[in-house]
Amino acid sequence: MLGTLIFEAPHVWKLIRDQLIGNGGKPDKNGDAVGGFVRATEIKNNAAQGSYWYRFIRPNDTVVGSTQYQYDVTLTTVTEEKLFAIAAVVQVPTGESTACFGWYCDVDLGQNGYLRILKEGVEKSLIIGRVVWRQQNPKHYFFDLDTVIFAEENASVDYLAYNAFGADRVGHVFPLLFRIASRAKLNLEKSLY
Amino acid sequence: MLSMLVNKFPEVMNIIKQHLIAIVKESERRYNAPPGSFWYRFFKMDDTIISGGTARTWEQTFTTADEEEIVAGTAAIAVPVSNTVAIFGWYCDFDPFAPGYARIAKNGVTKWEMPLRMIYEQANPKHLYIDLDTVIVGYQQDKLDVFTYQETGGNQIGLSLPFMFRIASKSMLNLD
Repeated sequence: MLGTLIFEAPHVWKLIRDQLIGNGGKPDKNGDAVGGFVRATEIKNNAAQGSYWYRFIRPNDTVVGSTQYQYDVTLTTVTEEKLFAIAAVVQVPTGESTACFGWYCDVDLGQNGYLRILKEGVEKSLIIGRVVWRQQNPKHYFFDLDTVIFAEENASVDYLAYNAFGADRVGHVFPLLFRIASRAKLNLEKSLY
Repeated sequence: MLSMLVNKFPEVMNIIKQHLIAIVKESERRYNAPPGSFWYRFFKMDDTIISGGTARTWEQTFTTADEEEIVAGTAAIAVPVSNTVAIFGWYCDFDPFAPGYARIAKNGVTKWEMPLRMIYEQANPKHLYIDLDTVIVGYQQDKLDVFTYQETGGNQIGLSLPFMFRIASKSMLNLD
């Protein structure tokens, strides 16, 4: 999902990668994380340096719990709905972390629509849904680099979307959420470059 | 296809080229080929890796609510002996509607997944999504499934294809 920024806003892409892997967003010569949330997760879990990486959340990830590949959701009106409108609270699995950098929303949730994140039941972020929808360049992306929400193993995080449009809305509404775990768990291979 | 990036995004093109050259070197090492004998080029629809397709046209007809492979219905790509493929992203020029997605599985394991409408909505360059964080490399004998899923309620005709390069000896690629 970060790929959208490569063309439109490479400086933001670097800032996010810096928070994830440190060193200004550039991995070391072996392609491993130098610092950031990935290295912090390796240290916390006594994992070898280079064994962890990050990738964007998928609806069929175990931390989300769906079996579908589709990212779209149907948000019913005047009800707070959880991530992908299917899952319960995200309970970060043992040995993993998640990091949330903002939201993507390509439907108008109405004037009162909002996007909210709770960690351990405590509200950490609350954003007007329409603001995210109206973002331009790249479209519908809202990066909140001042409020990055990092959740370590066993943390419970609620990602809530509230549709106040007056009718059901179908579209993409999800947090810019990265899952940090061992490369094997993420089904990733080490890049050569 | 890399030339799409030459004018506006030469730095992205350079990053992709550096990736490709690293993969070219690794392929030469794996396949015991002399250094300098391998190179890369964007895949062609009539490449043998696309299950021996003979058509040169890139457009395809995608039926609704069905995952379809790269040439809308063929089997997985089985990377031939002494070949490598590398995928850097996706190109899609039709709206697959909200549930549409692109998915790449390697040897049956999902490696990459992306809402297709986001790719279609990319503006600059149009319809192209480059994912440098998840470059997918398939070496010889690997099986790659490259799926497009659309749910518009009718057939869609257009281009939905991975940003995929074939790496092999220059003679196999018909390159000088």
